[in-house]
Order: sequence, then C-alpha cells, then structure tokens
Amino acid sequence: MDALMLSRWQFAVTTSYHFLFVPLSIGIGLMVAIMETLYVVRKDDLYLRMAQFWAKFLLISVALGVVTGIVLEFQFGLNWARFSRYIGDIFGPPLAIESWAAFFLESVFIGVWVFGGKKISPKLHAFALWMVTLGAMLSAFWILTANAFMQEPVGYALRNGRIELVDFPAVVFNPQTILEFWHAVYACITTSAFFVIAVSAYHLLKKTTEAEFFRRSMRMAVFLGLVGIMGVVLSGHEMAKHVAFAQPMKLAASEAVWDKTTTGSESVFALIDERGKKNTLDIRIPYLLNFFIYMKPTGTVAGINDLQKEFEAKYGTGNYTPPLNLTYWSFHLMIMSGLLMMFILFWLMLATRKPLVFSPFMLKVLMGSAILPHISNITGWIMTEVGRQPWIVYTLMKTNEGLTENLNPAYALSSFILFVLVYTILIFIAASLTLRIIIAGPLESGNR
Amino acid sequence: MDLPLIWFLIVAYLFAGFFLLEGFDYGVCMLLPFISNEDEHRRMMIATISGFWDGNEVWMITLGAVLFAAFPSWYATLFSGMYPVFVLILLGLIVRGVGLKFRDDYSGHTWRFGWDMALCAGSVLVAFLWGLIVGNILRGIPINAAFSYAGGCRDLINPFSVASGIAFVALFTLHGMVFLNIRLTGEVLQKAQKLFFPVYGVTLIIAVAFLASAGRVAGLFKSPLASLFSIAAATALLLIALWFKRNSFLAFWMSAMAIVFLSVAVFARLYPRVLVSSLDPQWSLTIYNASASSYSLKVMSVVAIIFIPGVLFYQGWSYWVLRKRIEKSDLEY
Repeated sequence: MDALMLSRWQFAVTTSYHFLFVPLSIGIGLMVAIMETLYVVRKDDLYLRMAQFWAKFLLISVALGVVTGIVLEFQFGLNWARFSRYIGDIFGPPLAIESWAAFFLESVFIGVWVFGGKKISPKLHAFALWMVTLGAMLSAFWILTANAFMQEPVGYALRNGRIELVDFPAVVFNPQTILEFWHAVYACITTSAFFVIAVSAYHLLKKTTEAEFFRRSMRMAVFLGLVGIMGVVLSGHEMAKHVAFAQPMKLAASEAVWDKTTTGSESVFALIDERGKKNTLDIRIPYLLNFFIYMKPTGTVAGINDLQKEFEAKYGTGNYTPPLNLTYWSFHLMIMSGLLMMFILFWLMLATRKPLVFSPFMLKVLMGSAILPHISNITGWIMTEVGRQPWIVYTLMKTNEGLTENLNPAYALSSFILFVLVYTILIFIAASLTLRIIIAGPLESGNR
Repeated sequence: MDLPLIWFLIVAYLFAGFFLLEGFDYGVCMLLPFISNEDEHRRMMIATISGFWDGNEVWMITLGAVLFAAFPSWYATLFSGMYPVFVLILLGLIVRGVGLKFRDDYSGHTWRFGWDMALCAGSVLVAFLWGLIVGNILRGIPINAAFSYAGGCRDLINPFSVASGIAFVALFTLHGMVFLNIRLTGEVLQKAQKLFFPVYGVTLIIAVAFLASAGRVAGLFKSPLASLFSIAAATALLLIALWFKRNSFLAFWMSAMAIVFLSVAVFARLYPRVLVSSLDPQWSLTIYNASASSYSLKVMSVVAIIFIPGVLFYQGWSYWVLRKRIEKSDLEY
C-alpha cells in the first residue's frame, strides 16, 4: 500500500476506535447527571448508587475517548499537511474553540467531580457533572462544524492559494453542521441507552438482588433510548433530504441509482458491479425514495452516471464516483440496525407493564442489542466520509491532494501498525475491565 | 493591531502554561518508581495529580488546535516534518492516559508496578521529545523554499536537540519533585524529600549546560530579552534550593517561574520566526508568512478574550477545591 492508502486507513481506523467511546461518554454522562440530579432533588439513596455505578463506565469511556482523540488532532498535521495548510484558516478555529470551550470544561470538571466528592456540596457535585456533559456535547458540536465544512463548504473564499474564512456565522450555522450535530447527539444518547439496557438485562436475567436498581436504570434508559432513536430517525430523515441536494452523488451511491429516475424507488438489497456500471441484483420499492426526499411520489433523483458527467464537465476528467458497494452497504447497515433498535424499544415499551417484567428470552435479546448502536455509528460515519470521495473537502480539494508532501511510506506504515496494535490492546483492557465491573454489580451502599 | 504578533504571544502563553502544568504531571510520574516501593505511597503520589492532569493536558491539546487555527503552515510543517517524533509522543500520551486510569483498577502487584514503569517511561519519552522539538525549532531544521520539511528523521537528532530533550526531562523531574513537596504528607513526603538534592544538583548542571549550548548553537543570547529571561530562569532555579525545606510553596513557584521564563526566552529568541530553516534564512516560517487570514485571527481573538480568563478562572478554582495535601486516608479501597 502507498502512503495515501495507509494514511486513509490510519485515519479511518483511529477515528472508528475513537467513536466507540465518545458516544458512551456523552450519553452515559447525561444519564449519570440526571441520576445525580434526581438524588439531589429527591434525596433517594438509590439514585446516588445508580450514579456511582454507571459513572464507572463513564470514566473508562472518557479516558479512552481522550487518548484516542489527541491522536486525531495530531493526525491532520502528520498525514494531511497539505490539507491542513489549505483549509487551516477555516478548519482550525472550530478545533481551537473545541479545546477552549469544551475540552477544558470536560477535563477540569471531571477532575473536580471524581476527586472533589467530599470537598464540595452535593449540588455543586451534580453541577460539575453537568459541566462535563455540556463540555462533551459542545466538543461534538465544534468538531462536527469542522467536519460539516468538509461536506459542504460555506462562508469561504479562495485566496492566497488556500481557503480563507470570510463568514464565520455561516460556517457555524451551516445546515450540515446543525443536522450532523443533532443526528450525532441523539445517536450518542441511543448508544448509551442500549448499553444501560443490556447491562441491566444481564443482572435481571441473573436474578439479581438489586432488581429495583436495574429496573429503574432500565426504565430511564428505555425512555432516553426512545427519545434518542426518534431524534436519530427524524434528524436522519432531514439529513437525507439535505444530502439529496448538497451531495447528490452520496445519495445516488447510497441508493445504487445509476441513471436519472422519476420513480424514485428505494433500494432494499443491491449488489453493485462497480466496473460494469450496473446492479447485478437490485430489489427496490417504487416511489419510496421520492417520499423520503420530497414527501410525495413525484420527483427526480439524479443517477451516478449523470453526476459523473456533470462533475467531469465542471472539474475536469477524473473519477468522481465514491466506492459504491461500501457506501451503499454502510448506509443500509446503518438503517437496518437503526430500525432494529427502534423495533426493540417499541417492543419494550408495549410488551411490558409496570413494574417492568421481562421473559428470559427478551432479556437475552436486550443483552445482544448493545452492539446495534455501534454498528449504526460506525457505518454511518463510513457512509458520510466514503460517500464524499474522491473529495476531502467537497468540490474544493481531492483526498490525494491533501496528503503530506513526500510522506515517507515507511513512517505511514509504522504508525499505522503501531496505532492498530496499541488500540487493540486498549480495547482488550477496556473490555475486560468493563465486563468485570458489570459482573461485580453495584456497591451495597453509596459511599459519600 | 498586529494580529499575528498577538497570536504568537498566545501560542507562547499556551506553551509556557503547558510546560508549567504538565511539567509536574510528567515529573511525578517519572519519579513514581524511584521514591517508594510501597503501593500505598505510589498511590498517594498519583493522587497528587489525579484531579488535575486531565485539565493540564488540555493545555497541550489547545496548543495544537491554536497552532492549526492561527498558524496553519506552522502546524502542518511542524507535525508532518517531525512525523516520527509526534507519533512517539502520542504513544507516550496514550500510555500515560490509560495508565493513570487503569493502574488502580486491578490490584495485582505486577500489574500496578508494571504500569508505574510504563507511566515513568511514557512521561520521560514525552518530556524528552518535546525538548527535542523545542531544541530543533531553536536550532533550525531543513525547510525548503516551499516552506515544507526537506530533511529526514536523522536531521532531528543532533547533540543540541538531544541536550534540550535531556534538559526538559531534568527540569520536569525537579518540577515534579517540588510539586510533591507541596502535595504529600507523612512518610512518603520524607522519602521524596530525601531525593531532592540529588535531583536538584543534576538538574542544575544540566540546565546550565543547556543554556550555555543554546547560547552557542542557537544564539539564545543574541536577543537581549531572551538573555534577560534566561538569567531570570537560572536565578529562579537557584532559589528553589533556598526555599525547598523552609517554604515549599515558594520553592514550587520558583520552579514554575523557571519553566515559564525559559519558555519566554525561547520565544523571544525565535521572534518573529516560528520554524527556523537551516538551509536558508529566507525560508524560515515567520509569524507573518505562516499565519491565518486576518479575519480568521479576529474571530479567534474574540474566542480567546472570552475563554482565556474563563478557563483560568475555573481551572484555578479546581486547584483551590482540591488544594488539600494528600493523606493516607484520602485513598479509597
């Protein structure tokens, strides 16, 4: 592999690892903050014990989120120096604001929250955790602002051989930013809800003596999970409508549409022959895609072939089609896994009455379902980033043009191997620690 | 207003703050295996930084992001040019970050003492490499007419940059020592204090040698301001010995000031360059040819005006909340 492919793989792998932990730190943070606030308001000791138990997972995911996050910040300069010089004027400020406005909030207050327990009042203690959660969410907003510019450049001018910022509010209120933010935040909440549901299911299956502890946790998680998944679906729907105009090639690739169509059919299962430029197998539901985009059966959807020609006319000869099977299948896996989550949550809501009673089969399904949000998270990002190819900054810079000049392939290879190796060890340690905490269960009484 | 100059000063401020705060975090971890062989003592040592190190590390993260925003070319050429160095720094930071979290999650002796060695090694590595980077920035690296790095890995390893790396390790070790001196109690404090004079003596010699070679190799004393701050840093270092036993807090401040003054001296010597080209002075990156657009810097200035005081306030508050010295009874389980 050459330095370009190695750098792309390295970024994909390190970002995906990072995004295993980030959703949990945002969502569990929110849940623990709610639990602690309920404890402060209702003085019910059970809420304190819940906060203390679930916080253990928060701390693991924050620790791993932080160390894997620094790698990303450095990587823009390491492997993508020409990208950094070209776009730094716009891409840098959101990153700097992320550090100043979000990371400090998160890191300073988590220190106070973990180690200041007896030194501050319970109210201040709960407040500290809200600051941690606020920091985590703000950090999501600012990093997504930077990403959104790569998807949909706005508020810039091409000057001095680079992209310069001319309208900061336009960059911040880029429709793409807002959509990505809500979609990601709801996904984080959903991810954490499924984690809490799965762990609670495990303990209920084991006939725990802490039934009330886990029922209450589960009830809160089901509620937040429903809010989360509805938010994900609605924001995802808005995003699809938006992408249809902002990045039509991504939509065409995700739906395996080769030629302009007015019947706008939704593809449910397609095998794409990328060389032969056709679908070897394609099962579609007519008009459904039009309904998703236009809210009515009529409308046109541009195809890959038309868009390829259009791009060539505008930007010169070249390949403007993203890897199709990868884009298509990551999009569809995201949707399928999302629909499954929605189904499970509705089922949970309808099939259970107060107090929550579950069959062993149901509990086992719930334990397994913890993997679903991660599938959606990762495939969603693959679809977003791969579907933008060959651009690194949509219509302004191609991915290969962003690579560090004269990057030594040996460097790229060694760092890639090193990160994969280290991250695999990290995952292993984090997973065994998480399992140990899950199996040990909550402490007998809150220690405060 | 000279916006690039303002942002150069902010970068210098972040560098100084990063070295001042992370300096003792690294130092404490470097000393971890050497002060006591009792797990309880080591846990007390870690407890002196555990509420702070995460927030301190954000100084470095902010520094990286601010370089990217205010001086995109500086960020891009520095990181891509010193690729292997930064990858190893990342490795050290990962080891530190997870080590501080995972060390106490299992109770086995091998596990914990293994992590102590890893924390020490990771901190030495990161401190050394930042010193190596600063040394190379001062001395100059092969940068071509396109403002990109034209050298190899070997160009980064030279007697001066290695000396600079060693000086950073020594200074941070001493800084960690004076920090422990204001944070610990009981037996482990006494054990730490016993190591002070050896650490101090070695650091003093290394620091003076580093300053002398910086004067010779990088022309540190050609700048009056840099000379002044170098002398101030050396004076602060000398004063640590005076107050270490009598007034631990003043001793810590002297160590902190030594680090800050040294950072100021480095940036005073660099100005207006940010990456010195060893091939042709014309090809050096300066605050003017490496900076972001003036609109971007204006936006960032608004951000800085809001967040620099805000962050200082609540980070300072967190130090106030957690100011009490660490005692045995503070350790859980």
